Amino acid sequence: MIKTVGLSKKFGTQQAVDNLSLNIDPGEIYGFLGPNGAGKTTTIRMLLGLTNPDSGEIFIDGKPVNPGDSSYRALIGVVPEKHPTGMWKWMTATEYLQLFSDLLAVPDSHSRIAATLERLDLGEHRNKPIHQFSRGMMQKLSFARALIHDPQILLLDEPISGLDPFGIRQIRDLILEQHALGKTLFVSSHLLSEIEKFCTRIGIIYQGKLITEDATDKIIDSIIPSKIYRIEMDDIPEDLIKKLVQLPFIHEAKIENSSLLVSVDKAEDHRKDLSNFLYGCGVSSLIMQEQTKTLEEAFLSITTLQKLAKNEVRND
Amino acid sequence: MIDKRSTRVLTKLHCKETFLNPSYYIAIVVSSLLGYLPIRAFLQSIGPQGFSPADSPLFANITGALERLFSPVMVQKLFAEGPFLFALFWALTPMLLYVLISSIITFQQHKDQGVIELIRFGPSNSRSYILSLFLKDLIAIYIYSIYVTLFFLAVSRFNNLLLGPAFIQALFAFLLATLVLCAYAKLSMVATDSSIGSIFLFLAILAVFLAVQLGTYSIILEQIRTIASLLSLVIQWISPFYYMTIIQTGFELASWLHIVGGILCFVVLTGIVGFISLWLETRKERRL
Repeated sequence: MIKTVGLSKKFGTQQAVDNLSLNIDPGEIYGFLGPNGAGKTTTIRMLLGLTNPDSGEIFIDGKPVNPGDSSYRALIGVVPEKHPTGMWKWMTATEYLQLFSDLLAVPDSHSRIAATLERLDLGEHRNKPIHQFSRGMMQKLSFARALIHDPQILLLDEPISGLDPFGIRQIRDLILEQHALGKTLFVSSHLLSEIEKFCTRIGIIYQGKLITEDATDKIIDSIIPSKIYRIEMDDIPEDLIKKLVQLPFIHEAKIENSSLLVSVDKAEDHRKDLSNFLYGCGVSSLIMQEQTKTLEEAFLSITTLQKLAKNEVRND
Repeated sequence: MIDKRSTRVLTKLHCKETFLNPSYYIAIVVSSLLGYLPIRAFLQSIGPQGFSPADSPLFANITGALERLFSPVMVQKLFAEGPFLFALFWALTPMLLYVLISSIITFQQHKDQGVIELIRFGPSNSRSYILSLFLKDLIAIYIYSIYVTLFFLAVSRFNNLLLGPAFIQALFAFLLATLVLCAYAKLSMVATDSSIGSIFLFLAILAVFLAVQLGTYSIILEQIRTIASLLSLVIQWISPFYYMTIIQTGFELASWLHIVGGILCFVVLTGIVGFISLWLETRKERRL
């Protein structure tokens, strides 16, 4: 549905996007992650034809995107990171959506606007001037605008940023609902804990380059190769860590916040071996829990490795 | 490429935005009152013994200054049909400036706030946006021109003054000049990245055209007229005021060649300036 081949963009001496190739299938929720300045927004702008790439090609729905051609944007609904708040102060939510419906020639726009506002819980605010809208309401209205023409692709730039938990949940439900309808979603965000809840695949971009791209759990597994057990106990003997690291299946052991953290081979379940060993050392564990690894940890590992690699190259 | 639907929708939006703004009506009142000033001064000059400019200090000052700057013949021509010709320029110029400058400010504000980018998601493009602003400016000025004409017509009826063909001819020429001035305002708007810069550029363009045009009529110093005439050889081709004089000459001589030629020149010049503005904006857009 969205394909880029060797996409590159340079601003002055800074390489914003470097030979980026993406292939997003129809019906996917693709999470596009990266630290600030990694090239996420530049990529989105190039996908929308708002910024011309220096080199590379973009295909939307199988067709190449030509510079200056904006007609393909009708296939896309966009929720930008920042929503202009000072504009058209006199406009109501309905008038605002009517404007974009007119621009997009949406058939039967009146009923579609009413239904979209209702779906986003903005029905009772339809005649309210948009300058009275809160950040969360404005974000929902932005979503309504992106959905008004029933696009096949949704490009969401930081869609949940700045929302309260209730708002985040609503937007997340909406994303999943659109996914269930077969839409392709391209989501750029730095809220990794949220992204991993709904993305089917993620790509991590760092300094303009795509570092890794896979299903969320596969990325976590590939970056963090071990399981971590958190063990709560009354008293941790001084030499326990030394003894633990001598065991063949243990990678690392450390104390954190009065708990013992043990990193083990992830291929097998070592809880029984670990309990037996602790019992042999004269301690009994109170609670043993497998710590879930998060996308955030994987992301931090990847970006830290990239930073280190870059520094090593410089030092060489 | 310009998208017709987007341009229509955005023109409607800009018009709504303008007509819902109280400052448009304030500008109408202020401009029409400014236009009424010379009429009132003229009326005060009419006494029981007939027309006597000395009876109204304001009228005497206006005509005196114009005579010193240009020539008594020109002033005579200007007031041949009464005060309405002079009042027309007095009433239209501030409104024209208000409409064009407010458009420049709106454009820069919308650009800074990301509104134009949002419209481009629409999908539209900034060319359609600029063209829609151009059309809105014309509509706002033409609506005001109708109002001013009706207002002056009412004043002429109440005071038994003549609102003759010279007024209609001048209005016609002015409205054509508005086309080019709107295009120059759009060029200034896209040529710089700030409201202040755009306004200064537009006022500078306007000042140069006016200075060169009026300089050629000046009788204060021979040198001024010579320099203005020399500059005019080049600048006149891109100046709306030059084509206004062609049309006026056409009306005076009843020459259709001058009138039709003048209209064509206005349309072509508007097209060229408009095209440069859109080309410049497209170039800027792609460079991003």
